[in-house]
Amino acid sequence: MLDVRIDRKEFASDPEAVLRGIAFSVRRGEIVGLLGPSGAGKTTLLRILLGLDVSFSGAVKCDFRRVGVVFQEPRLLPWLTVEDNIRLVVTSAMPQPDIGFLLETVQLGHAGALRPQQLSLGMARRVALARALAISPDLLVMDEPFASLDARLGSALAEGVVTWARTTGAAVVLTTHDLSQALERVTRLLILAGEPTTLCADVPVSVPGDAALCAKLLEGFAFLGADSNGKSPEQELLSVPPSGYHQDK
Amino acid sequence: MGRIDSATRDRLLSLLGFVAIWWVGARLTVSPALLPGPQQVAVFAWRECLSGALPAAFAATLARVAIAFVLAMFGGGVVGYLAGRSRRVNAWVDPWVVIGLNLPVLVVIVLAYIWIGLNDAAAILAVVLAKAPTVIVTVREGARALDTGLAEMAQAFHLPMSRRLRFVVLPQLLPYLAAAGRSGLSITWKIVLLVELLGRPSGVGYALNLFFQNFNVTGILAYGLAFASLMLLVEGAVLQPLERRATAWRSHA
Repeated sequence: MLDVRIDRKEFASDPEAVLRGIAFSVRRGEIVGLLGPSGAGKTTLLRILLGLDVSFSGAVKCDFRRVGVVFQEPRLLPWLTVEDNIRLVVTSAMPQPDIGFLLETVQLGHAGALRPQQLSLGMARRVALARALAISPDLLVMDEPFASLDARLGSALAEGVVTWARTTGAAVVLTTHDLSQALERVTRLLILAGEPTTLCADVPVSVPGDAALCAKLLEGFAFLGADSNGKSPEQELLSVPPSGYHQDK
Repeated sequence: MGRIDSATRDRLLSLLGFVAIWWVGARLTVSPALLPGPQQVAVFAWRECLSGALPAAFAATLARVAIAFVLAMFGGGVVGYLAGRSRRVNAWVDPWVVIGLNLPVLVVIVLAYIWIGLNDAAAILAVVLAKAPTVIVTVREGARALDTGLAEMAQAFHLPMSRRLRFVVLPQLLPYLAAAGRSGLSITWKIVLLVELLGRPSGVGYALNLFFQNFNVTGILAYGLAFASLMLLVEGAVLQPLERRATAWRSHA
């Protein structure tokens, strides 16, 4: 189980709190979506639960043995091939993955010998997903995992992750801007909003793609000030791809 | 036979020009003892080779260069990495580095001989102390420029320290280590000659000292140029290919 309690998080450059009063748990088999507007601190929250940011008041307790991570940027080592990038995170104590099969799963069966510089951003993100799955994680943490992928491929991969999680019983925590897609996949939705960001709602999603719930949440999003920068909630839910890789053709 | 590219041809022509100017200079000099010609120096070097004196001197100097180079690169690399990653370590190290960079090499050598004695340990320590600060400064810059995103990836996946160093840190530091190594080799062997000249009974520096006392310019040029050529060969045949190999992945961009 993952237990997260963040009483207060602020950055050294700004004494104002960014996150406040956030507490939730994640159990095996749950697929938890973190939904919030841009700049709400979703990535900061993920960094805290991964142990990458320890300068906050609160506590994170993680009982999961193996945690796979898909960052917003692929973070592949440019001097290693795709296969070696995946192999890097697998230690001898872990079950040894079939890397060819993993690459086939993310529709990159041909790319094992390529280097990250030869990949488009979308391809690199898929390699990052394969890398995270290679360690057979008990908990998979993903930061905007399907941004910059075309809708069909993004949807196929999301479906693949859901199937994998159901089969293995692993837990998944993912951030997203896309409410309707999130509702298709997650079993729980944590809604982050406000200034400082707080956990506004912890919504169980029993019916995938529940349209009524979607409409209700969008209404709530606008009420919480998610459109404070002039964007509509729908616009706010669009993702922006990071730079540094080839554009998908 | 492959064709020589224009850059190589220009280099060879430039080298030939140097030998030609030397030859003309030697012809114009009043006494051949002041500036012997290239042929005279080459014959002297060949005779020294056959007698075994030159190989023995080279072997002694090369051993000192190799030991001092490895120690300075390893020690300087570790300290430079730590100083680049930790402000506190850097605060401790930086004043020492500044002193090391500004202390004349001659002072370091003389003090090492006085405090430790006229032996190889003192000689090598003096070279390491003289060289390490430049390695520290170069590697420190490399450590500061390490990609934090990749470091976080390694941390998030709980990569063992050995893997982090080998696959994440070292490839990023290699260009800096290569730069430190290439400049380091040329500085190291020159310091070693000075160390030998001042207090060792063997090596190229010792031989140069003897030739100086006997006013043997032919010997000085033969040993000096032959050793410089050997060091250029080591750099061109060993260090440069290693550097190219280490950064070959960039060509895939």
